[in-house]
Amino acid sequence: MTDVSTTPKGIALLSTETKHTKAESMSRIILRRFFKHRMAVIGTVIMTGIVLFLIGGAFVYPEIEGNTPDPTAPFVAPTLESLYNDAPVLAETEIPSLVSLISYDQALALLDEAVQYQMITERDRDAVLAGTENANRFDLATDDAELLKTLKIFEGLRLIRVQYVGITNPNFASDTFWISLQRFNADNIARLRAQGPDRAAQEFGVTDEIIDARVAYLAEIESLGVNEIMDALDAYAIAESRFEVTQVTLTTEGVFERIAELDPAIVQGLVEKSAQLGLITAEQQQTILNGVESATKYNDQVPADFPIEQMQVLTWVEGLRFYEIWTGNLDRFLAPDKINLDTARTTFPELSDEQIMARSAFRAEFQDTKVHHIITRLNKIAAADAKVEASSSFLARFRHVMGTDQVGRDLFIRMIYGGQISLMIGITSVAISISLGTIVGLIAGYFGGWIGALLMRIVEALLAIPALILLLLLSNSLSRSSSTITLLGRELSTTVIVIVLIIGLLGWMGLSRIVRSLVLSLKEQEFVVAARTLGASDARIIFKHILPNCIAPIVVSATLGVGGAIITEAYLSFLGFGVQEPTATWGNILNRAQGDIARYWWMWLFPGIFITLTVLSINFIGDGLRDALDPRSLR
Amino acid sequence: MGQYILRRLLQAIPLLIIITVIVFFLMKTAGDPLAELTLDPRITESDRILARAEFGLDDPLPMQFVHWLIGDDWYTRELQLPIQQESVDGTCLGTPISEGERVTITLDTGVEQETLIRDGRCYRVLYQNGSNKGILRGDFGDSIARGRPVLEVMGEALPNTLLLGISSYLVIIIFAFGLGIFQAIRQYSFFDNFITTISFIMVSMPIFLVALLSVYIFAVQFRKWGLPYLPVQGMYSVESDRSVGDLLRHLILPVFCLAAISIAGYSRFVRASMLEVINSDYIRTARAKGLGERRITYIHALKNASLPLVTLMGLDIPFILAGAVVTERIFSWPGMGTLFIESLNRLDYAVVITFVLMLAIAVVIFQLITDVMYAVLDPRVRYS
Repeated sequence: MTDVSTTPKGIALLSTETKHTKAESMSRIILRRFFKHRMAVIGTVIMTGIVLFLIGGAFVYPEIEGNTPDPTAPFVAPTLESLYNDAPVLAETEIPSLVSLISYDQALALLDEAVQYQMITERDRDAVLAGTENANRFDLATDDAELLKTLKIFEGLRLIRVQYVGITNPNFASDTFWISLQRFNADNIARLRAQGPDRAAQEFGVTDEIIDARVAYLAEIESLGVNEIMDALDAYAIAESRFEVTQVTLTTEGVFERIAELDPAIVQGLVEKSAQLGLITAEQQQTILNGVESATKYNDQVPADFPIEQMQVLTWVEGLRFYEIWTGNLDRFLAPDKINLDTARTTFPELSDEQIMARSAFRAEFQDTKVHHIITRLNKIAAADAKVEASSSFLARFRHVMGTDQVGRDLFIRMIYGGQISLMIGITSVAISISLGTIVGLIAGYFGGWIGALLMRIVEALLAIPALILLLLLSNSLSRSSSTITLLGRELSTTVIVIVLIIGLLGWMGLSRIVRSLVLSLKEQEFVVAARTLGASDARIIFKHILPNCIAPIVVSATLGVGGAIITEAYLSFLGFGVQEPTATWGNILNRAQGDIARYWWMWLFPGIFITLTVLSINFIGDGLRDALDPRSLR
Repeated sequence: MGQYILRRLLQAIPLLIIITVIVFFLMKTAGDPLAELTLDPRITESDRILARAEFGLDDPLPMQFVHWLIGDDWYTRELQLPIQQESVDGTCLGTPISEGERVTITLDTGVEQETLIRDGRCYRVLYQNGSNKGILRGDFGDSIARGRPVLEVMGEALPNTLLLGISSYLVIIIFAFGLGIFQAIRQYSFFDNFITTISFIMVSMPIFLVALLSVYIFAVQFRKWGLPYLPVQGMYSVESDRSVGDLLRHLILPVFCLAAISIAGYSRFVRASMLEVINSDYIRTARAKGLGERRITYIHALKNASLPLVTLMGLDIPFILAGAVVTERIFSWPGMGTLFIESLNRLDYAVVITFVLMLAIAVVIFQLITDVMYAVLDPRVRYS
């Protein structure tokens, strides 16, 4: 049994007149001891840095809304300059020349064969033929309509994901049609077949005939040179997506030449017709003809040889873009030969049949003039400009210092927001688990009996299943449906709360055991016995005499618990069971990188480093606190 | 001792029951595993009803639990399968029936068929017994997602996980002891400080960062630089001959990741407990007796220092199996972790419950083994 005077509370109890100064010097001692610990100082410094980064970063860094996906924003990586230089060449010359070697009918046959050999579904084929969004960016690459259609088939095929991946989470399906097809080379199949008659069929899950057909298909594709097309398209996609600059270059490239060739009368006609059809008001028509304000920005973007008289046409086209004549109004109408009046009537209840047909006819006319291609390009320039403007603070030259994710969200700002959420989850869930653990430990230790036994059985039951497994189970049940709530002026996914709760409710067992054993020994000590003899109630004994003596392990395990909770959240989110998008956390930023960790290295490296640094500093601080609070060294 | 073991095993029974109940109800409330059947136009309503009946998904929840425990081969379900989309003027198979009434019709084939009309649709009634024997009779049910018995599915995954777990465990023990002892002997040397720093960082690292980094360096970049690179997907290469060599190559990275993090924690522990022992009186006595330093370190000190480690490691073994979830996921290792995550995603409750139950049993058994080992290693410990 320890001497009464060795416990701080005991000292205080014995010498009440010096209580105040003792307590004061004690906190001083603890602080001094803490900062004598070299690791603890390092930890504190790192932690301060991270907190400053999370709080201050959002103010200093340009106000790019991290939580809104911005589809116009490109991927950005700090390297691959060469690809960037190649991109325009690829798009304008190399890809069309490669594709021109294959006729449209050949491409169509290849597509049908892919369906026949069960590599893509019929729905995939229809989607490819309809022209995917990705394929449409080649609209200006060539004037040859046949060539363009062929090109779109290949771009569509390139993007198709392998079906039947088997896992519900789409993040895990990373194989594309072409990559999976590569596995069907004749050598591979021969080797597999040498191992047993059914090995190949078993491996690929299709019959031997289809495997043979796929091998032949691959050979056919190779002889046609499709592989080179695919490589070029891949390179183009990477290049285009990697650099914002590329985007601007690509969009301006060629567009002004096209405007220079436009007939002013046609464009003027489009403007007038738009006003007649009620797509714009007379006032707006006047503004367009006089020149919308946004047109002035092209003054320093047009190439030197741009004919000066065409500037007016450029202004009009910009006006048509500005009032969304094409993107906001016309592209929803089908051409007159394709339009279904019944559907159109329900879609546009405010329009009469004549108006619908008139707009449909105008759409066809508009499309013939190809002005809508130019509008699409101008839209991209506008989007890129908006982005430049949004980030034009003193940090602008470091725009996207950490790159962006697949939908173009700035990773740096998501790291800041995500870090705030991760830390918030860590702290609140630990607050829950610490209170629970302390209460359970106090009750079980102080009262004992059947309550104590029952509580300890529950602790044992919870400890018998690895925490991660339990968390996954709970999260699987509770966070399937996700909506958003507004908290502190920020839209958050409700899964944040679910995750906080389950991490908090499953993290208290260790502490409750520590507190219980402490209480068991404390309640037999003289100062507790003395308090009881003096007639103190149970509540007073627990909260005034026992609890203060348990503070050290509670503080230490709270500190270390925050680090543990942050890592746990990261594991859950990484496996797809944590906080759901669009709310960012360090864990689910990482999760997005899973598809292709080689290509998206920055998306896992930065969050990973931040998690490690945070947890490391928390561990340092926790260690320092443990030493500083050690009652044996407080005398 | 025998009595002690028996008592501990008996104590585990309520624990397992609690776990079973909790996990069962958690999985059952998570969602309907066959929900996607309603989206598939090729599956008729009758097929859907039969498929759901096979797993007893439409029984009341407490009943489902009973069936899961003791089976449903004694339980008869009444299934109403639609035979006509609409029943014209209240006839069913040519026989007029009023709403709600049950009529037995003799078909042309001579088969007697009970039919009824509900909400204007004609149904035939089928009485069917379940086929599940329940876990208490050793039947862990069928996996919904795979259509095969759970034990069969797990039997395929378990050896893979054991292979990964045991090989990484061997690596962990060798390195943790090696590093820990070396650090303890050379306390505060450069090597000691260096390893301490590294292990501090490793302990703070989430395992996926280690895994992703090693994949990026040893697979992606090595390949780019033309160096011999390591495979990162699954247990065998697709085009390989499934040889041991190929398997070993696939093992390197997952084992490295699992081991790297655990070695950091364990070696710190070994170091601490070695230091505690090395400074004790009996070691000084052994030195005074003139024993060799090697003998003192490896026989006298290590034996006592390893006692707390036996506890720690024994308790951690089942957790290593579970902790491999993330690693298996990253390396597409076809083990229990991957199986667990896939089953969770598909709400394949039978697999999940069996997995958790097995894990809990493993924890209980390893706790017991640890306690017994402790008594064997330390003659001072006796169980009463």
